[in-house]
Amino acid sequence: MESTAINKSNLAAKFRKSGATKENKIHIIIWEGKWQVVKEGAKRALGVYLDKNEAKKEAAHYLERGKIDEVVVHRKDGSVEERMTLAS
Amino acid sequence: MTFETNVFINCPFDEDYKTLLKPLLFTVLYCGFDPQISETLDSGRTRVQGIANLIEASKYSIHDLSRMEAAKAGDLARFNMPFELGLDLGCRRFKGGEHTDKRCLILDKEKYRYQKVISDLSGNDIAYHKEDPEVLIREVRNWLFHIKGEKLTSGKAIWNTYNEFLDKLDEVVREENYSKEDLVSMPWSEYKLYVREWIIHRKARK
Repeated sequence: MESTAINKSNLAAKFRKSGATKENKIHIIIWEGKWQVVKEGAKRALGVYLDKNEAKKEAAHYLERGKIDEVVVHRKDGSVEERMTLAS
Repeated sequence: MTFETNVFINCPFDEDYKTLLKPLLFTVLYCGFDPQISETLDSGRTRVQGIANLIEASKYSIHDLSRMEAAKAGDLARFNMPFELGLDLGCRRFKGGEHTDKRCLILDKEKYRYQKVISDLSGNDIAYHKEDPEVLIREVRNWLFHIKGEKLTSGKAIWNTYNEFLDKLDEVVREENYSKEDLVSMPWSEYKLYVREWIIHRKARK
C-alpha cells in the first residue's frame, strides 16, 4: 500500500514536469478526416494532408533538417502509433 | 469535491468505450471541472448507493446512452445508463434546493436513435458523438462553454492537447516499466490525477 502511494506520487511529479516542459517535437494528429502536422505547443498546423503518409513525409523533412528531435504519429483515437527519430 | 464544479459521468466501463471515456474525462478536467466517476471503493456497499451519492454531489452530469444495446445478437440490452439518467433527473425534480439547478448533457452515438427506446426524452436536446473522440471532445467542450459562459479553448485545440498528453502518458509509462495490463487496469481516479497535474503545468507553460 505504501509503495503504491509513493509510486503514484512519483508519477504525479513526472506528469507535472512533463506538462511544464515543451519538447521539440512534431505530432501528426487527425482532425475532421485530415492529418495535421503540428509542432508541439503551436496553434497552427505546419501542414494538413488527406493522406497520412504525406503528413509523415513532411514531418520527416523537418526531422532530417535537424529542426526537430522527434515525430510522434498518432492513431485516430489519439494514442501513439509510431515514433520517428533520426536514429530510427 | 465541490457541488458547483462536479460533473457526474454516466457511461459504460467496457474496454471498447475507453477510447471515448479517456478524452471525455480529459476535456472535463481541461475545462476546469471535476468529473465524478463510479469506482469500487467498498465492496460492502451497493453500487447504486455510490452512484446516488455522486449524483447528489454533482451539479452537472454527462449521460452517454450510446451503449444501451445488446453487445451482440442474442444478448440483452444494457439499461444502467438510462437508469442512472432517471436517477439524476429525479434528483433534480424531487430533491429541491440547489439540486433544482442541476444541468446535464445527454449523448448518444446517432441522431434520433434514443427516441425509439426512450420516447419520454423526445422533447430533450441530445448531442451526438458518432463514437468519434474528436466529436465527443467538441460536444462536451461546447456544453461546458454554455455553462461557464466565458472564453474557452476550442475543441480542436483541446483535441490536439489530448493527443500531446497521450504521448507523454506513453513515455512515462514506458520509463516506469508499466506493463500493458497496468495501463489497461489503471483506476480512473489515478488517470484523473495524472491528467490534472499535467494540464495545470501545460496551461502555465509559455
